[in-house]
Parts: sequence; C-alpha cells; structure tokens
Amino acid sequence: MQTEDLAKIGFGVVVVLAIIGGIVTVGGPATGRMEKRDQARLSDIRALQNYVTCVARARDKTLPDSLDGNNECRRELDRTDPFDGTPYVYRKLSETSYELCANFELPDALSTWQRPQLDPETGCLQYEFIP
Amino acid sequence: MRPADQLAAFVADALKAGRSREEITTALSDAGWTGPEIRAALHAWADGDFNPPVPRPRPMVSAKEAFLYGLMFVSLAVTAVHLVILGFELADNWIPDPAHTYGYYSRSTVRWSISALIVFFPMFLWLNNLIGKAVKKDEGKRRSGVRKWITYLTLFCATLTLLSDLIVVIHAYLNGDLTARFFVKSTIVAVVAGLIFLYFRGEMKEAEDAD
Repeated sequence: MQTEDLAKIGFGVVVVLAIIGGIVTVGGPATGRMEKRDQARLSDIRALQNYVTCVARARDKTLPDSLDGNNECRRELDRTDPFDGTPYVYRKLSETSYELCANFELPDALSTWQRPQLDPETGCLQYEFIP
Repeated sequence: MRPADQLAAFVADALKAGRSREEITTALSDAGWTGPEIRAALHAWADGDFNPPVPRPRPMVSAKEAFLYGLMFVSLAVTAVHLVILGFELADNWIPDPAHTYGYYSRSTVRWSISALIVFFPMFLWLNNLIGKAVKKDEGKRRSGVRKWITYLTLFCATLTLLSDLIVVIHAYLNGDLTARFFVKSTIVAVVAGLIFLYFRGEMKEAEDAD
C-alpha cells in the first residue's frame, strides 16, 4: 500500500473519530433544543433578578417576600416557564440574598461564565442584593 | 525556458523546417512526451502548408484545472483547520486543567466544526479522486503547473505548521506549561499536519521529474 493511501485512510479515520467524539460530547439536535430552552429560562431569570433589584431599591433596600403584589416596578415579565408551564420560584434567603429557580434541562451545558450563581442540582441561582 | 515553451518552440521549428506531423509525433514520443501533450502541442499550430506555421488561439492556463486544484486546496485547508478546532474543543472538555479555572468550551463551536467537516472532507476526497483519475488517464497532467504549485504550497504550509508546533512544545516544556491538555493539543496539530505532509509527499516526488 502506498503512503498516499495510508495517509488518506488515516485522515478519514481521524475525521470520523472527531465527528463522533464531537456528537457524543455535545449531543444531537434534541440536546441543542434543550440548550436553547435553558437559555430562554436563564434570560427570564435575569429579567426577574432585575425586577427584584428594582423593587428592593424602591422599598428602601428591603427584598420583597414574593414576586407578586409589588406595584413599584412595572415590567413585562414571564413568571412561568414558557415550555413546561411551572412558575419560576423566588425565595428570600436573608435580608440581602435570595434565589430564583427554574427547571433547567441541561444546567451543565450552560457555559461557566453564564452561571456563576447557578447550582446545577436544584436549578436555583443565588443572588446578593447590592443596593 | 519552461518545458512547455521548449516543446512549443520545438514544434514550431520542426514545422517551419517542413517536417511532417507524424515525424514530429514520433520524435516527441521517443523523447518521453505523452500523447495528449504532443497532440496539444501540435494542435497549437493550424493545419495547412502555410509557412511559417500559423498559431491557433488558445487559453494560457487551464481554468478548469485551476478551479479543481484551488477547490481541493481550500477543502483540505478547511478540513485541517476544523479538525484542529474540534480536537482543541474536545481536549478542553475532556481533560480537566486545575490551573485553567474557566476552561470552557463552546458547544456551538463544536457543532460548527462538525458541520464544516461533513461538507468539506467528502468534498476533498471526491476532488482528489477526480484529479487522480484524470492524471492516471493522462500522465502529462502530472506536469501541470497548477498541480505543482498547489502541491508545494500545501507542503509548505504543513511543514511550517509542524515546525511551529515543535517550537511551541519546546517553549511550553521550558516554561513549565506542558500539561496533559497542552500535550494532547500539540499532538492533534502534529497528527493533522503530518497526515497532510505524508499525503502530498508522494505528489512532490512526481512533481520533481516535472521541473
């Protein structure tokens, strides 16, 4: 066998291995959809975080007890998960900290800089209120 | 003088001297020129008894050849680049490096590279096959200038990549950066460049006798 053919086969093997390795690692289109849904949830959580900060500022630096019944800040907010319909959870942990939770399908796939506050086990993001 | 020019000059001189086309064909094939090359050289001059011989209009370089070889070169380059990117992303994902706190890899990049490989690697194989068949049918195509240039250009890039990779590895070793992840990445670059080098080395041998 010629070196040319050997190299061609080697090339083919490397390419096929790389493609298989890639698909095994990142998953197929269904996984991609899950990631997209998680991104949407994360952006809803971000909006809720902004909302909570706004309410707390308006109330002389006290965090609200729940997401409802606050008239200080009017915003268009998704309070429920648009995909599975469960409401997002808001919990006041202390006077200055709280958490917001959603049912993330693939929390590990959210890249690290997007989720420093995220606990992958519970799907909750902890925030500190900084006035 | 380039071989093709010498051939053209010889054919012109021979026709001027009143030699028949059959005589010229025999002389050229005895010297090792292939049938298609001789036919092309003779076809450059119009039939007839007019002396000096009348040139026929003809294109300077084969545009079709440039298209095929150019496309093959780009396919190979895209395949090599995305193979390396994909390998790096997988190395970032599979091999933890405690010193790199955010060794984050992008899932979208992985998918992009997979897509590029799915399109361009079969493209490369197909073009390579096509060109290989054409060369087998007409051995004179080995002397094609485009083929020679593309082959040497590829070898040039592969050699530079291999040498740079070696420098980077030595530097990382001296700098204390020779982690498992880094080692795997350097190996990926070396394997890809080495395969390309191996692949085109045979072609370089062929190109040698075509100077």
